[in-house]
Amino acid sequence: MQLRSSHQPLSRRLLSHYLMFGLVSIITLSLAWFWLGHSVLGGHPERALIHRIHEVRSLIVADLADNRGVGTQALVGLLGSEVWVAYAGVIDTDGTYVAHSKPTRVGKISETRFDLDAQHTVIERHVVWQDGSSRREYWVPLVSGTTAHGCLQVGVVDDLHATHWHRMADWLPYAILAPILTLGIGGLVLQSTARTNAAIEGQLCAVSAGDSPNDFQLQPLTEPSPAAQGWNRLVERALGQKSTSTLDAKLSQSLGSLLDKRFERILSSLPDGVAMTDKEGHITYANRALGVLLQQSPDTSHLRGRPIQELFSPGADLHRGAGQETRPIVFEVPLGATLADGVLRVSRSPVMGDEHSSAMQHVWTVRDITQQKLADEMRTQFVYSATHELRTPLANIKAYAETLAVNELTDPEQQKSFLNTIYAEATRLARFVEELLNVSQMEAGSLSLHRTEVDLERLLTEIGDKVRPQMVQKQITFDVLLPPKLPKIQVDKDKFVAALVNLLGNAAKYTPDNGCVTFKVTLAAKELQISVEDTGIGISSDEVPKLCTKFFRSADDRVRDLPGSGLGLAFTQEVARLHGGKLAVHSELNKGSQFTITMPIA
Amino acid sequence: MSTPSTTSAPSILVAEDNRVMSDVMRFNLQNAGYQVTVARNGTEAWELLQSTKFDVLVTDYQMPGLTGEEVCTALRIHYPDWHLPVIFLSARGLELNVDRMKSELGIETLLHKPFSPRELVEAVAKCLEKSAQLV
Repeated sequence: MQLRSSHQPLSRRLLSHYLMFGLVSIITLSLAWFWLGHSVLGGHPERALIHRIHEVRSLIVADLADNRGVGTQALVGLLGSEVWVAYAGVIDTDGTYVAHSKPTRVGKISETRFDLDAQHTVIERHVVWQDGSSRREYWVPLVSGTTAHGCLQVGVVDDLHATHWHRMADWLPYAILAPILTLGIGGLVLQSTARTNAAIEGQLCAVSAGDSPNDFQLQPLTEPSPAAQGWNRLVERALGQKSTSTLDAKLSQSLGSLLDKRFERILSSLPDGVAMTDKEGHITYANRALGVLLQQSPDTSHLRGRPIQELFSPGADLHRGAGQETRPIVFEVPLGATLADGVLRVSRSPVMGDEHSSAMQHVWTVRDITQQKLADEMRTQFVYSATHELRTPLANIKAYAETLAVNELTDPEQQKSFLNTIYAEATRLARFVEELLNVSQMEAGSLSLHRTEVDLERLLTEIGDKVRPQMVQKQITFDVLLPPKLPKIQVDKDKFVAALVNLLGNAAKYTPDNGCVTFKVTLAAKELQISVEDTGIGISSDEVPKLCTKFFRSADDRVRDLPGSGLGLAFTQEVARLHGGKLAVHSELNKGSQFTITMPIA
Repeated sequence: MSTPSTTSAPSILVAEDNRVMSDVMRFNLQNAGYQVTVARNGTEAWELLQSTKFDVLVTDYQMPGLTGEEVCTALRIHYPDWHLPVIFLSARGLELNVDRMKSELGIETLLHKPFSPRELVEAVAKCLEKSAQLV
C-alpha cells in the first residue's frame, strides 16, 4: 500500500482518500437512516411478540413432554427477560405455577385461570388488578399431541411501541457516530499523507523568505516515507558541500563527479601524455600515455605526488617559464644523446579558470616527436644531397659547354670527348630527376607498374653490363652468377632495372677499391631470388631498419663523403613490393652487405 | 721545396675529386697559359702543397679525405708566412660562412657551382696580380 501510494502523486492520493472516506460516511449514514426508517414504518410489535411467544411455547411443550419440565423454568426466565415482557409463567392443568419469571411464584396457585382448549392458539385478555392497574396478557395453551400440560401466561408491558422506539434510540448514536468517526479517521489519514510535503514546503518557504541566497537552514525529516528519505539525502548533500557555497559550484561539482569518469577515460585513451601539476609542481594526475612515453609502465599511480622535473632526464630545462607561470610554454626534451633515442615535445599551460591565484596549477602535454624530428633531419639531408646531386652535373655541363663555345677547339677528338662528357652529365642529371619523380610518385602513392613480358636472362645480363664500368673503375671483382635456364617473366622493365641498378650501384659505391661484388640469381619453384653481395663498408645494425626510409642516409662518414639522395633503397623496396616481393637486408659493419629481392614469378 | 722559376708560367694546384670537373678546369687554365697540377682529394692536395710551391690553390669544398676547408686551415697553421691565394669552389649555398672563411682562411674568391670557366680564369688572374703587387 505504502509502495503503491508512493508512486501516485500527492494530489491524487489526497483526492482518492477524500473521496473514499466521504463515500464511506455517506453510505454508513444512509444505511443507518434507511434501517431506522424501515423499522419504524414497517414495525408490527404485536405480531413479533406473538411470534416470539409461539416459539417459546413450542420449546416449553417439548421440554414438558420429553424432560418432565426440567428446563421450563429457564425457558420462562428467558422469555421474562425480554424488554416488552413484564412477566411470564407456566400454569399446569391444576392451576399451579410450575414456572414463573419471578421464581417466588412457582408452586403458587394462579389467581386467574383460563381453561383453554387445544384448538385455542392464543388469547389476549386485559387483566385488571385489585389496585386498579391493568395489564394486557397473552394466554397460550401448552398441548403436545392429545396431552394438555397447562398454559403459558405472558404479561406484556403497557406501551409496546414505546419499547420499540426505545430500542431504536439505543442504536441511534452508532448511526450518527460511525460516519463522524469515519470522517475523523479520514482527516487523520489525509493529514499524515500530507505531513512530509507540508514539512518540506515549510522549509522551502523559509528558504525563499530568507535574506541571503546562500545562507539557509535545512532540517532532515524523521518520517519514514520515501519522499522524506529523498529530502534527507538532498539535505545531507547540501550540508556536505558547504565549502562550495554557490549553487553554481554545487551544480558543477555534482555534474563534475559524473563527468570525471568520462574525462578520465578520454584522457587515458589519448596517444599524447597528459599530466596535471599542483602549485608546487607535483603531479596530481598522469595518463597512461605519459607512463608509456617515459618508458615506464602504463600504470601511472606511482607518478602521483612526484615533482614533474623528475620525470625527464636531468638537464631538461623545466624552469624556462619561471616567473611567467601564466604563460604557456613549449620545449623539447631529448631522451638521449642522439635523435634516435627519442625527443619529446612538452608543453605546459596554466589550468583555465585559475588566472586569479598567484601560484598556478598546470596541465602538461607530452608528445613523442622522434619520428617527426628524424623526418625533418632526413629532409634537410635530402635537400643538401639533392642540391649537390643537381649542381655537380649541371656545373660540369655548364663548364664544358662554355669551354666549347668560347674556345676554338682545333682537335676534333677533344671536341668529341667534351660533347660526350656533356651528354654523360646530362644523362646523370636526367636519372636523378627520374629518381626524384619516382619518389614523388611514391610519396603520392601513385607509383604503378606497367608489366611486360621480358627475357629474364637478357635483362639481367644487360643490368650487369650497365654497372660493370663502375666496378672496373674501382677494380672491383664483379661476379654475375645466373642459373643455366631463366624463364620469361612479367615485370615493369624500367623500374625493375632501376631497382637492381640501384642495388649494384650502391654495392660499387660503398665497396672500397679491389673489393668484391657478387650478383647472384637463384630460381625456386615459384620464386625468384636476386641477391647483391658486397665486401663494402657495411651498415651498423641500428641503422639497418631505417635503411629503406626515404631520405635516410647513414651517419657513417664514409657514406656522407659520397653523394647520394637517400632515395635509392626506398625506391627499390617499393618496386619489390609492387611486384609482390620484398627486399631483405643483411649487413655487418666493415665486412659487407647483402641485399636480397625475393619475388614470385607467375 | 722546389720553387717554380720566375720565367715559367704560374703554377696552379687544382684540388677536385670530380674528374670531369677537374678535366675542364685543367683545360681552361692550361689554355690561359698556366701550369696546372690536379689533386684527386684533400689529402693528396695537402701532400702536394707540402712539397711544391704553387702560386694559386683552387680547391673544392667537399672532397673525400680532407675537405677544402681543412686543407686551408692546415696550410695557414703550418705555413703562416705563405700567402697562397685560395679560390674556393662549392656546390653549397648559403650555409657556408663566406665572411668567416675569407678572414680566417684567407680565401680570396668563392665560386659557386655551377660556375663559368672564364670566371675561374679571371679569378686566378686577379689573384696572381694581387700577389705580384704584394711582392
